[in-house]
Amino acid sequence: MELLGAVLVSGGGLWLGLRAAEELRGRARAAGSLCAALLLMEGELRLSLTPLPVLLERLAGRCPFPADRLMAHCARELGRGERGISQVWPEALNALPGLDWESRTILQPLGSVLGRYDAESQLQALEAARTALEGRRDRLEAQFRSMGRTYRALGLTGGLFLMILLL
Amino acid sequence: MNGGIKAYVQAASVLPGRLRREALSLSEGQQERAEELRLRTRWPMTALVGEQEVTLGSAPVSPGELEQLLELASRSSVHAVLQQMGRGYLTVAGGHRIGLCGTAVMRDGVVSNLRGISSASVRVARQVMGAAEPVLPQLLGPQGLESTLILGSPGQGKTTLLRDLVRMISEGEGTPPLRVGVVDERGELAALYGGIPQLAVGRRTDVVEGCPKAQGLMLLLRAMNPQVLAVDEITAPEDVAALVSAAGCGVTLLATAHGAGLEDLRRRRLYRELMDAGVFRRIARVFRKDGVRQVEVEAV
Repeated sequence: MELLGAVLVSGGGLWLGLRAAEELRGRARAAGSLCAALLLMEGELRLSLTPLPVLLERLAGRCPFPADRLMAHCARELGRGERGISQVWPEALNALPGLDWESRTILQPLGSVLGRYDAESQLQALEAARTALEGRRDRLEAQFRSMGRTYRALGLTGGLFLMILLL
Repeated sequence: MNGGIKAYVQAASVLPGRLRREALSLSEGQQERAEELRLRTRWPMTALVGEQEVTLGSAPVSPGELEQLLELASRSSVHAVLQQMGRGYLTVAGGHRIGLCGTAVMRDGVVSNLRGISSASVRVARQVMGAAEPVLPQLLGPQGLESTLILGSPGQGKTTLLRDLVRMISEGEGTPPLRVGVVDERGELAALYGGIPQLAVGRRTDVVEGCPKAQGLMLLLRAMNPQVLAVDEITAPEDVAALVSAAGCGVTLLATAHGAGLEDLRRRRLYRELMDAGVFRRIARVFRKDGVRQVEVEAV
Protein backbone atom coordinates (compact mmCIF):
# COMPACT_ATOMS: atom_id res chain seq x y z
CA MET A 1 0.00 0.00 0.00
CA GLU A 2 2.81 2.35 0.98
CA LEU A 3 4.63 1.48 -2.18
CA LEU A 4 1.58 2.16 -4.30
CA GLY A 5 1.09 5.57 -2.63
CA ALA A 6 4.73 6.45 -3.19
CA VAL A 7 4.53 5.44 -6.87
CA LEU A 8 1.39 7.53 -7.30
CA VAL A 9 3.03 10.58 -5.68
CA SER A 10 6.12 10.29 -7.82
CA GLY A 11 3.91 9.77 -10.87
CA GLY A 12 1.99 12.90 -9.92
CA GLY A 13 5.20 14.87 -9.67
CA LEU A 14 6.29 13.66 -13.07
CA TRP A 15 2.88 14.52 -14.52
CA LEU A 16 3.11 18.07 -13.13
CA GLY A 17 6.53 18.49 -14.68
CA LEU A 18 5.35 17.12 -18.03
CA ARG A 19 2.29 19.36 -17.95
CA ALA A 20 4.37 22.46 -17.31
CA ALA A 21 6.65 21.50 -20.19
CA GLU A 22 3.67 20.78 -22.44
CA GLU A 23 2.18 24.17 -21.63
CA LEU A 24 5.39 25.81 -22.75
CA ARG A 25 5.31 23.81 -25.96
CA GLY A 26 1.62 24.69 -26.46
CA ARG A 27 2.39 28.41 -26.22
CA ALA A 28 5.15 28.11 -28.78
CA ARG A 29 2.84 26.10 -31.05
CA ALA A 30 0.01 28.63 -30.70
CA ALA A 31 2.33 31.50 -31.57
CA GLY A 32 3.65 29.48 -34.53
CA SER A 33 0.18 28.68 -35.83
CA LEU A 34 -0.78 32.35 -35.64
CA CYS A 35 2.38 33.32 -37.52
CA ALA A 36 1.33 30.93 -40.27
CA ALA A 37 -2.21 32.36 -40.24
CA LEU A 38 -0.96 35.94 -40.54
CA LEU A 39 1.26 34.93 -43.45
CA LEU A 40 -1.70 33.31 -45.23
CA MET A 41 -3.80 36.39 -44.54
CA GLU A 42 -1.12 38.62 -46.06
CA GLY A 43 -1.04 36.47 -49.18
CA GLU A 44 -4.82 36.57 -49.64
CA LEU A 45 -4.97 40.33 -49.10
CA ARG A 46 -2.08 41.02 -51.42
CA LEU A 47 -3.37 38.89 -54.25
CA SER A 48 -7.13 39.18 -54.24
CA LEU A 49 -8.35 41.92 -51.87
CA THR A 50 -10.73 39.30 -50.46
CA PRO A 51 -13.45 40.70 -48.17
CA LEU A 52 -12.59 39.91 -44.56
CA PRO A 53 -15.48 37.56 -43.68
CA VAL A 54 -14.71 35.41 -46.74
CA LEU A 55 -10.99 35.51 -46.04
CA LEU A 56 -11.43 34.52 -42.38
CA GLU A 57 -13.73 31.66 -43.31
CA ARG A 58 -11.20 30.42 -45.84
CA LEU A 59 -8.38 30.66 -43.32
CA ALA A 60 -10.42 28.82 -40.69
CA GLY A 61 -10.23 25.79 -42.96
CA ARG A 62 -6.54 26.15 -43.74
CA CYS A 63 -4.85 27.27 -40.53
CA PRO A 64 -3.44 24.92 -37.90
CA PHE A 65 -4.88 24.83 -34.39
CA PRO A 66 -5.51 27.19 -32.56
CA ALA A 67 -5.41 29.89 -35.28
CA ASP A 68 -8.25 28.06 -37.04
CA ARG A 69 -10.46 28.74 -34.02
CA LEU A 70 -9.62 32.44 -34.02
CA MET A 71 -10.50 32.70 -37.71
CA ALA A 72 -13.69 30.66 -37.37
CA HIS A 73 -14.87 32.71 -34.38
CA CYS A 74 -14.33 36.01 -36.22
CA ALA A 75 -15.89 34.75 -39.47
CA ARG A 76 -18.95 33.47 -37.61
CA GLU A 77 -19.49 36.72 -35.72
CA LEU A 78 -18.89 38.94 -38.75
CA GLY A 79 -21.35 36.81 -40.69
CA ARG A 80 -24.06 37.88 -38.27
CA GLY A 81 -23.54 41.44 -39.49
CA GLU A 82 -24.14 43.07 -36.15
CA ARG A 83 -20.58 43.80 -35.05
CA GLY A 84 -17.40 44.77 -36.80
CA ILE A 85 -13.97 43.17 -36.59
CA SER A 86 -12.78 45.77 -34.04
CA GLN A 87 -15.26 44.31 -31.54
CA VAL A 88 -15.00 40.69 -32.56
CA TRP A 89 -11.20 40.33 -32.78
CA PRO A 90 -10.30 41.07 -29.11
CA GLU A 91 -13.11 38.81 -27.94
CA ALA A 92 -11.91 35.96 -30.15
CA LEU A 93 -8.31 36.45 -29.02
CA ASN A 94 -9.30 36.27 -25.37
CA ALA A 95 -11.17 33.03 -25.99
CA LEU A 96 -8.19 31.44 -27.74
CA PRO A 97 -6.62 28.55 -25.85
CA GLY A 98 -2.86 28.25 -25.33
CA LEU A 99 -1.93 31.81 -26.26
CA ASP A 100 0.36 33.60 -23.81
CA TRP A 101 -0.18 37.18 -22.69
CA GLU A 102 2.68 38.62 -24.75
CA SER A 103 1.50 37.03 -28.01
CA ARG A 104 -2.01 38.25 -27.28
CA THR A 105 -0.66 41.78 -26.78
CA ILE A 106 1.13 41.60 -30.13
CA LEU A 107 -2.06 40.51 -31.93
CA GLN A 108 -4.54 42.79 -30.15
CA PRO A 109 -3.93 45.98 -32.22
CA LEU A 110 -4.75 44.15 -35.47
CA GLY A 111 -8.43 44.41 -34.52
CA SER A 112 -8.40 48.12 -35.16
CA VAL A 113 -6.52 47.82 -38.47
CA LEU A 114 -7.94 44.76 -40.23
CA GLY A 115 -10.63 45.64 -42.73
CA ARG A 116 -10.54 49.32 -41.85
CA TYR A 117 -7.86 50.64 -44.17
CA ASP A 118 -6.54 50.04 -47.65
CA ALA A 119 -4.80 46.74 -48.31
CA GLU A 120 -1.33 48.30 -48.15
CA SER A 121 -1.82 49.64 -44.62
CA GLN A 122 -3.28 46.34 -43.48
CA LEU A 123 -0.37 44.43 -45.00
CA GLN A 124 2.10 46.65 -43.14
CA ALA A 125 0.30 46.02 -39.84
CA LEU A 126 0.08 42.28 -40.52
CA GLU A 127 3.75 42.07 -41.38
CA ALA A 128 4.76 44.01 -38.28
CA ALA A 129 2.61 41.78 -36.07
CA ARG A 130 3.93 38.64 -37.74
CA THR A 131 7.55 39.70 -37.30
CA ALA A 132 6.97 40.44 -33.61
CA LEU A 133 5.08 37.16 -33.18
CA GLU A 134 7.81 35.17 -34.92
CA GLY A 135 10.27 36.63 -32.43
CA ARG A 136 7.98 35.64 -29.58
CA ARG A 137 7.56 32.14 -31.03
CA ASP A 138 11.35 31.73 -31.28
CA ARG A 139 11.74 32.84 -27.67
CA LEU A 140 9.00 30.46 -26.56
CA GLU A 141 10.60 27.58 -28.47
CA ALA A 142 13.98 28.33 -26.92
CA GLN A 143 12.30 28.52 -23.54
CA PHE A 144 10.69 25.15 -24.16
CA ARG A 145 13.99 23.62 -25.19
CA SER A 146 15.78 24.85 -22.08
CA MET A 147 12.98 24.87 -19.51
CA GLY A 148 10.95 21.94 -20.82
CA ARG A 149 13.64 19.47 -19.91
CA THR A 150 14.13 21.19 -16.55
CA TYR A 151 10.41 21.02 -15.77
CA ARG A 152 10.26 17.34 -16.62
CA ALA A 153 13.38 16.57 -14.59
CA LEU A 154 12.09 18.66 -11.68
CA GLY A 155 8.77 16.83 -11.76
CA LEU A 156 10.48 13.47 -11.80
CA THR A 157 13.07 14.23 -9.09
CA GLY A 158 10.44 16.00 -6.95
CA GLY A 159 8.25 12.91 -7.18
CA LEU A 160 11.15 10.59 -6.39
CA PHE A 161 12.18 12.77 -3.48
CA LEU A 162 8.65 12.63 -2.08
CA MET A 163 8.59 8.89 -2.59
CA ILE A 164 11.83 8.49 -0.62
CA LEU A 165 10.45 10.72 2.11
CA LEU A 166 7.24 8.70 2.31
CA LEU A 167 8.99 5.38 2.31
CA MET B 1 -44.44 43.80 -42.58
CA ASN B 2 -44.92 45.46 -45.98
CA GLY B 3 -42.17 46.01 -48.54
CA GLY B 4 -41.57 49.65 -47.61
CA ILE B 5 -41.05 48.93 -43.93
CA LYS B 6 -39.01 45.83 -44.72
CA ALA B 7 -36.64 47.92 -46.88
CA TYR B 8 -36.31 50.49 -44.09
CA VAL B 9 -35.58 47.83 -41.45
CA GLN B 10 -33.01 46.23 -43.73
CA ALA B 11 -31.31 49.59 -44.36
CA ALA B 12 -31.30 50.36 -40.61
CA SER B 13 -29.62 47.03 -39.86
CA VAL B 14 -26.34 48.45 -41.13
CA LEU B 15 -26.26 50.94 -38.23
CA PRO B 16 -24.37 50.30 -34.99
CA GLY B 17 -26.51 48.98 -32.10
CA ARG B 18 -27.73 52.18 -30.41
CA LEU B 19 -28.46 53.98 -33.67
CA ARG B 20 -30.23 50.91 -35.03
CA ARG B 21 -32.56 50.87 -32.04
CA GLU B 22 -33.27 54.58 -32.47
CA ALA B 23 -33.95 54.15 -36.18
CA LEU B 24 -36.42 51.36 -35.43
CA SER B 25 -38.21 53.56 -32.88
CA LEU B 26 -39.75 55.49 -35.79
CA SER B 27 -43.46 54.77 -36.23
CA GLU B 28 -44.38 52.21 -38.92
CA GLY B 29 -46.06 54.87 -41.03
CA GLN B 30 -42.88 56.96 -41.00
CA GLN B 31 -40.67 53.92 -41.61
CA GLU B 32 -42.67 53.21 -44.74
CA ARG B 33 -42.12 56.72 -46.09
CA ALA B 34 -38.59 57.36 -44.80
CA GLU B 35 -36.13 57.96 -47.62
CA GLU B 36 -32.91 58.49 -45.71
CA LEU B 37 -31.27 58.34 -42.32
CA ARG B 38 -28.79 61.13 -41.69
CA LEU B 39 -25.91 60.95 -39.27
CA ARG B 40 -23.76 63.94 -38.40
CA THR B 41 -21.18 63.99 -35.63
CA ARG B 42 -22.25 65.88 -32.51
CA TRP B 43 -25.92 65.87 -33.59
CA PRO B 44 -28.64 63.28 -33.07
CA MET B 45 -29.50 61.09 -36.05
CA THR B 46 -32.43 62.20 -38.21
CA ALA B 47 -34.73 60.45 -40.66
CA LEU B 48 -35.81 62.14 -43.87
CA VAL B 49 -39.53 61.48 -44.09
CA GLY B 50 -41.06 63.23 -47.07
CA GLU B 51 -39.71 66.77 -46.92
CA GLN B 52 -39.15 66.66 -43.16
CA GLU B 53 -36.11 65.64 -41.09
CA VAL B 54 -37.37 63.82 -37.99
CA THR B 55 -34.92 63.75 -35.05
CA LEU B 56 -34.34 60.27 -33.61
CA GLY B 57 -33.26 60.10 -29.97
CA SER B 58 -31.36 62.84 -28.20
CA ALA B 59 -27.79 61.53 -27.93
CA PRO B 60 -25.46 62.87 -30.61
CA VAL B 61 -23.77 60.61 -33.12
CA SER B 62 -20.13 60.06 -32.15
CA PRO B 63 -17.18 59.75 -34.55
CA GLY B 64 -16.71 56.20 -33.21
CA GLU B 65 -20.24 55.29 -34.30
CA LEU B 66 -19.56 56.58 -37.79
CA GLU B 67 -16.41 54.45 -37.89
CA GLN B 68 -18.51 51.48 -36.80
CA LEU B 69 -21.05 52.25 -39.52
CA LEU B 70 -18.26 52.11 -42.09
CA GLU B 71 -17.05 48.85 -40.58
CA LEU B 72 -20.50 47.27 -40.74
CA ALA B 73 -21.36 48.68 -44.18
CA SER B 74 -18.09 47.44 -45.65
CA ARG B 75 -18.39 44.11 -43.79
CA SER B 76 -15.08 44.97 -42.17
CA SER B 77 -13.51 45.07 -45.62
CA VAL B 78 -12.73 48.66 -46.52
CA HIS B 79 -9.92 47.39 -48.77
CA ALA B 80 -12.50 45.62 -50.94
CA VAL B 81 -14.72 48.69 -51.38
CA LEU B 82 -12.16 51.47 -51.63
CA GLN B 83 -13.04 52.21 -55.25
CA GLN B 84 -16.67 52.78 -54.28
CA MET B 85 -15.61 54.81 -51.25
CA GLY B 86 -13.61 57.09 -53.48
CA ARG B 87 -16.91 57.98 -55.11
CA GLY B 88 -18.31 58.80 -51.68
CA TYR B 89 -20.71 55.93 -51.10
CA LEU B 90 -21.07 52.22 -50.46
CA THR B 91 -23.82 49.92 -51.64
CA VAL B 92 -24.96 47.35 -49.08
CA ALA B 93 -27.20 44.28 -49.28
CA GLY B 94 -30.65 45.30 -50.47
CA GLY B 95 -29.23 48.07 -52.67
CA HIS B 96 -29.26 50.66 -49.90
CA ARG B 97 -26.58 53.31 -50.25
CA ILE B 98 -24.36 54.67 -47.54
CA GLY B 99 -23.13 58.15 -48.44
CA LEU B 100 -20.00 59.24 -46.59
CA CYS B 101 -18.34 62.59 -45.90
CA GLY B 102 -15.03 63.27 -44.21
CA THR B 103 -11.45 64.16 -45.00
CA ALA B 104 -10.56 62.92 -48.45
CA VAL B 105 -7.33 61.00 -48.92
CA MET B 106 -6.00 61.80 -52.37
CA ARG B 107 -3.82 59.49 -54.44
CA ASP B 108 -2.72 60.44 -57.96
CA GLY B 109 -5.24 63.28 -57.94
CA VAL B 110 -8.15 60.96 -57.19
CA VAL B 111 -10.06 60.47 -53.92
CA SER B 112 -8.81 57.08 -52.74
CA ASN B 113 -10.26 56.93 -49.23
CA LEU B 114 -12.00 58.94 -46.54
CA ARG B 115 -10.70 59.35 -43.02
CA GLY B 116 -12.22 61.13 -40.07
CA ILE B 117 -15.77 60.50 -41.23
CA SER B 118 -17.89 63.49 -40.23
CA SER B 119 -21.32 62.58 -41.60
CA ALA B 120 -23.15 59.81 -43.38
CA SER B 121 -26.50 59.11 -44.95
CA VAL B 122 -28.24 55.79 -45.33
CA ARG B 123 -30.46 55.96 -48.38
CA VAL B 124 -33.26 53.41 -48.35
CA ALA B 125 -33.58 51.64 -51.69
CA ARG B 126 -37.18 51.02 -52.64
CA GLN B 127 -38.34 49.62 -55.89
CA VAL B 128 -41.67 50.77 -57.26
CA MET B 129 -42.80 47.73 -59.26
CA GLY B 130 -45.18 48.73 -62.01
CA ALA B 131 -44.09 52.39 -62.06
CA ALA B 132 -43.54 52.11 -65.81
CA GLU B 133 -46.75 50.22 -66.64
CA PRO B 134 -48.79 53.26 -67.77
CA VAL B 135 -45.76 54.75 -69.56
CA LEU B 136 -44.39 51.85 -71.62
CA PRO B 137 -47.28 51.68 -74.18
CA GLN B 138 -46.62 55.33 -75.02
CA LEU B 139 -42.99 54.56 -75.81
CA LEU B 140 -43.85 52.02 -78.47
CA GLY B 141 -43.75 53.06 -82.12
CA PRO B 142 -44.42 51.11 -85.32
CA GLN B 143 -40.94 49.53 -85.08
CA GLY B 144 -41.29 48.70 -81.40
CA LEU B 145 -39.66 50.46 -78.46
CA GLU B 146 -38.49 54.00 -79.28
CA SER B 147 -35.38 55.62 -77.81
CA THR B 148 -36.58 57.67 -74.87
CA LEU B 149 -35.15 60.43 -72.69
CA ILE B 150 -36.66 60.71 -69.22
CA LEU B 151 -36.59 64.26 -67.88
CA GLY B 152 -37.26 65.67 -64.44
CA SER B 153 -35.85 67.51 -61.44
CA PRO B 154 -33.92 65.62 -58.75
CA GLY B 155 -36.08 63.43 -56.52
CA GLN B 156 -39.02 63.21 -58.94
CA GLY B 157 -38.50 59.53 -59.73
CA LYS B 158 -36.60 59.42 -63.03
CA THR B 159 -34.35 56.57 -61.90
CA THR B 160 -37.30 54.63 -60.49
CA LEU B 161 -39.12 54.94 -63.81
CA LEU B 162 -36.04 53.97 -65.82
CA ARG B 163 -35.41 50.92 -63.61
CA ASP B 164 -38.96 49.68 -64.01
CA LEU B 165 -38.86 50.26 -67.75
CA VAL B 166 -35.68 48.17 -67.93
CA ARG B 167 -37.31 45.42 -65.87
CA MET B 168 -40.49 45.33 -67.98
CA ILE B 169 -38.64 45.34 -71.31
CA SER B 170 -36.21 42.68 -70.13
CA GLU B 171 -39.03 40.51 -68.81
CA GLY B 172 -41.16 41.08 -71.90
CA GLU B 173 -44.00 42.75 -70.03
CA GLY B 174 -46.00 44.91 -72.46
CA THR B 175 -43.43 44.44 -75.19
CA PRO B 176 -41.54 41.48 -76.70
CA PRO B 177 -38.59 40.65 -74.40
CA LEU B 178 -35.35 42.39 -75.29
CA ARG B 179 -31.75 42.16 -74.15
CA VAL B 180 -30.98 45.23 -72.09
CA GLY B 181 -27.55 46.58 -71.19
CA VAL B 182 -27.42 48.91 -68.20
CA VAL B 183 -24.55 51.26 -67.41
CA ASP B 184 -25.02 51.83 -63.70
CA GLU B 185 -22.22 54.27 -62.99
CA ARG B 186 -23.43 55.20 -59.50
CA GLY B 187 -24.91 51.83 -58.59
CA GLU B 188 -28.44 53.24 -58.32
CA LEU B 189 -30.24 51.36 -61.05
CA ALA B 190 -29.44 47.75 -60.27
CA ALA B 191 -27.35 48.19 -57.10
CA LEU B 192 -25.04 45.22 -57.64
CA TYR B 193 -23.89 43.58 -54.41
CA GLY B 194 -21.68 40.53 -54.62
CA GLY B 195 -22.50 40.36 -58.33
CA ILE B 196 -26.25 40.18 -57.74
CA PRO B 197 -28.59 43.06 -58.66
CA GLN B 198 -30.33 44.05 -55.45
CA LEU B 199 -33.15 45.70 -57.39
CA ALA B 200 -35.13 43.85 -60.05
CA VAL B 201 -33.91 44.76 -63.50
CA GLY B 202 -35.10 41.69 -65.39
CA ARG B 203 -33.65 38.41 -66.52
CA ARG B 204 -32.28 39.65 -69.85
CA THR B 205 -30.37 42.56 -68.35
CA ASP B 206 -26.59 42.89 -68.23
CA VAL B 207 -25.22 45.45 -65.80
CA VAL B 208 -21.91 47.30 -65.85
CA GLU B 209 -21.43 49.14 -62.58
CA GLY B 210 -19.01 51.79 -61.40
CA CYS B 211 -17.82 52.50 -64.91
CA PRO B 212 -18.00 55.91 -66.64
CA LYS B 213 -21.08 55.92 -68.87
CA ALA B 214 -19.26 56.46 -72.14
CA GLN B 215 -16.91 53.54 -71.52
CA GLY B 216 -19.69 51.36 -70.15
CA LEU B 217 -21.86 51.88 -73.22
CA MET B 218 -19.02 50.88 -75.54
CA LEU B 219 -18.15 47.90 -73.37
CA LEU B 220 -21.72 46.60 -73.48
CA LEU B 221 -21.98 47.18 -77.21
CA ARG B 222 -18.80 45.23 -77.86
CA ALA B 223 -19.33 42.45 -75.35
CA MET B 224 -23.02 41.81 -74.78
CA ASN B 225 -24.85 42.58 -78.04
CA PRO B 226 -27.68 44.51 -76.37
CA GLN B 227 -30.92 45.50 -78.08
CA VAL B 228 -31.58 48.27 -75.58
CA LEU B 229 -29.05 50.36 -73.64
CA ALA B 230 -30.02 52.23 -70.47
CA VAL B 231 -28.06 54.95 -68.66
CA ASP B 232 -28.90 57.22 -65.76
CA GLU B 233 -28.04 60.94 -65.62
CA ILE B 234 -26.40 62.17 -68.79
CA THR B 235 -24.12 64.98 -67.67
CA ALA B 236 -20.97 65.07 -69.79
CA PRO B 237 -20.13 65.61 -73.46
CA GLU B 238 -18.49 62.14 -73.52
CA ASP B 239 -21.85 60.61 -72.48
CA VAL B 240 -23.58 62.41 -75.36
CA ALA B 241 -20.94 61.28 -77.85
CA ALA B 242 -21.23 57.68 -76.65
CA LEU B 243 -25.03 57.77 -76.90
CA VAL B 244 -24.86 59.12 -80.45
CA SER B 245 -22.40 56.35 -81.39
CA ALA B 246 -24.59 53.69 -79.76
CA ALA B 247 -27.66 54.97 -81.58
CA GLY B 248 -25.72 54.57 -84.82
CA CYS B 249 -25.37 50.86 -84.02
CA GLY B 250 -29.12 50.36 -84.14
CA VAL B 251 -29.62 50.06 -80.41
CA THR B 252 -32.64 51.58 -78.65
CA LEU B 253 -31.61 53.99 -75.91
CA LEU B 254 -33.19 54.80 -72.60
CA ALA B 255 -31.64 57.62 -70.57
CA THR B 256 -32.41 60.16 -67.91
CA ALA B 257 -31.38 63.81 -67.56
CA HIS B 258 -32.14 66.77 -65.35
CA GLY B 259 -34.49 69.11 -67.14
CA ALA B 260 -37.95 70.62 -67.12
CA GLY B 261 -38.90 69.78 -70.72
CA LEU B 262 -37.96 69.82 -74.36
CA GLU B 263 -37.59 73.62 -74.51
CA ASP B 264 -35.35 73.57 -71.46
CA LEU B 265 -33.18 70.91 -73.13
CA ARG B 266 -32.81 72.89 -76.33
CA ARG B 267 -31.59 75.90 -74.35
CA ARG B 268 -28.65 73.86 -72.95
CA ARG B 269 -25.77 73.23 -75.30
CA LEU B 270 -24.99 69.70 -74.17
CA TYR B 271 -28.52 68.46 -74.69
CA ARG B 272 -29.10 70.56 -77.81
CA GLU B 273 -26.42 68.53 -79.55
CA LEU B 274 -28.09 65.36 -78.41
CA MET B 275 -31.51 66.46 -79.58
CA ASP B 276 -30.13 67.73 -82.90
CA ALA B 277 -28.62 64.31 -83.51
CA GLY B 278 -32.17 62.95 -83.41
CA VAL B 279 -31.26 60.15 -81.04
CA PHE B 280 -34.46 60.23 -78.99
CA ARG B 281 -37.95 59.80 -80.36
CA ARG B 282 -39.81 60.16 -77.08
CA ILE B 283 -39.45 62.50 -74.12
CA ALA B 284 -40.98 61.34 -70.84
CA ARG B 285 -41.29 64.20 -68.35
CA VAL B 286 -41.56 63.16 -64.71
CA PHE B 287 -43.01 65.62 -62.20
CA ARG B 288 -45.09 65.66 -59.04
CA LYS B 289 -48.55 67.09 -58.78
CA ASP B 290 -50.12 67.24 -55.32
CA GLY B 291 -47.35 64.91 -54.11
CA VAL B 292 -48.22 62.26 -56.72
CA ARG B 293 -45.75 61.29 -59.44
CA GLN B 294 -46.97 62.05 -62.97
CA VAL B 295 -45.39 61.19 -66.32
CA GLU B 296 -46.12 62.98 -69.59
CA VAL B 297 -44.81 61.46 -72.80
CA GLU B 298 -44.16 63.54 -75.88
CA ALA B 299 -43.12 62.36 -79.35
CA VAL B 300 -40.14 64.21 -80.79
